[in-house]
Amino acid sequence: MQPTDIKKNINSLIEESVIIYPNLTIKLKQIRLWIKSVKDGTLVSKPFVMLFLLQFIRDAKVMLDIKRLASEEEQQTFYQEMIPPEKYWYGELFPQWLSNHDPKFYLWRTKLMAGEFSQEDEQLIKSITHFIKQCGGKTLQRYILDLSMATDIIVSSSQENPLCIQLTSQSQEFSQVKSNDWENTLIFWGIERGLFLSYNPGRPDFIDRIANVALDNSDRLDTGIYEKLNL
Amino acid sequence: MNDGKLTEHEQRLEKFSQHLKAARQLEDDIIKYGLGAAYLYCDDVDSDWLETWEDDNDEPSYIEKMITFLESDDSVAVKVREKLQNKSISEIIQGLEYCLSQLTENERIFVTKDLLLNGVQFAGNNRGSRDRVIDEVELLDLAEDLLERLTEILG
Repeated sequence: MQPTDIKKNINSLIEESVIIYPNLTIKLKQIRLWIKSVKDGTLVSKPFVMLFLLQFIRDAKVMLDIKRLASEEEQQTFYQEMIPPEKYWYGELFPQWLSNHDPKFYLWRTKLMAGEFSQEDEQLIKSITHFIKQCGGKTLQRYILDLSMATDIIVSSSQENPLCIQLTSQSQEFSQVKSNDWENTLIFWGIERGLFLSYNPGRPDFIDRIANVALDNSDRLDTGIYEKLNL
Repeated sequence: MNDGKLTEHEQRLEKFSQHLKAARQLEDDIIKYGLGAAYLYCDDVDSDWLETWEDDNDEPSYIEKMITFLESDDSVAVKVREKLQNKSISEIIQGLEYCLSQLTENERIFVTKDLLLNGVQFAGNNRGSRDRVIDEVELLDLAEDLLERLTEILG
C-alpha cells in the first residue's frame, strides 16, 4: 500500500458517507483539512499519523456497513459478531465522537504535529492486554479513546460489560488533577462508569494486579461510579 | 442460500466481517509493534506524503490563502480580527476549518457565528462568561460575509 491510497480512501469514504452518515463526513473532512495543513519542516510523527488514519478508515468502514443496514434485526446479526468492547465502541462511543464537537481534538492534533505524542504506556498496555486475554477477558484500544476520551483500554470479562480504564503511574505528578480531568472527560462523553488505576511500577506483580482489578471491576462496578484506585 | 449464491444479507455480513477483521488486525499489530506497525501497512511511511498531500489536488495552498486573507485589509478580515483579537491566526484558521467542514450552509453560518462569539472555544461550556452584550444579528451578518469571502478565496 502507498501513502497516496490513504487519501483516496478518505475521499471515497467522504463520498460514501455523505447521504447515509453525515456526521462521519464532517469528521472525515476535518481530518482531511488537518492533514492538508501540514507544512514542510513540521515536526510530526509520520508513523503515528499513518496509523491514526488507517485506524480511522477501518472504523469508518465498519460504521458505514452498520449504517447501511435497513433493519434492527440485521444490525443485531452484525453486533453479534463483535466482542463486548467492540459493541460499546461501534455502538456508542465512536458514534458519540462522530456526532459531537471534540474539545480536545484541536489540542491533540496540535500536539501530534509538534511531535509531542508519546506512548509511554505502550509496553505496559501490551502486557496487560496479553494477561487479560489469557484470563478470557476482552479488550479494545483506539487512539481516539486515548486522546479524547481519557481511556487507555476498554475491558470486559465474564459479565460482558465493557469498562473504560485509564492507567497512570504513581510516580507521575498531578495525579489528583489528572483523575479529576479524567472523570469530567468520561462524563462529557456519556461514559457511565470508569476505572482510574494508579499503579506502582516498582512492585514486581503490578501487571497481574492491574489486569485482575480491571477484569473484576468490569464485572461488578455500578453505573454512575467513577472508581479511582491505587495499586 | 440457493445455487451457491450469497443472499444480499450474507454479502453484507461477509463484507462487514472483513472490515471488522481488518480493524482487529490493525489493533493487534499496533499492540504488538507500536508505531512500527505503520511500516507493515505502508511502503513509504517516512516519505513526504504528508507534505505533498494536496499536490495533486485542485485546492493548492489552502491554508496560505486563508492566512493571506485574514491578515489583509479586507473589511471583513479586519472585523474578524477585531472579534477574535486574543486569538492567533492559526487558532482562527483551526476554528474556520471546523466551520467549513459543516455540511449545510445554515450549519456553516451558525457555527461560524458561534466561533466569532466565543473564540476558538466555541463549542465548549463557557458561553455564560460574557460580560458584554453582543449583537448576535450583527455576528450572523459577519459570519455570512466571512463565509462568502472564504468561498470566493478557496474556490
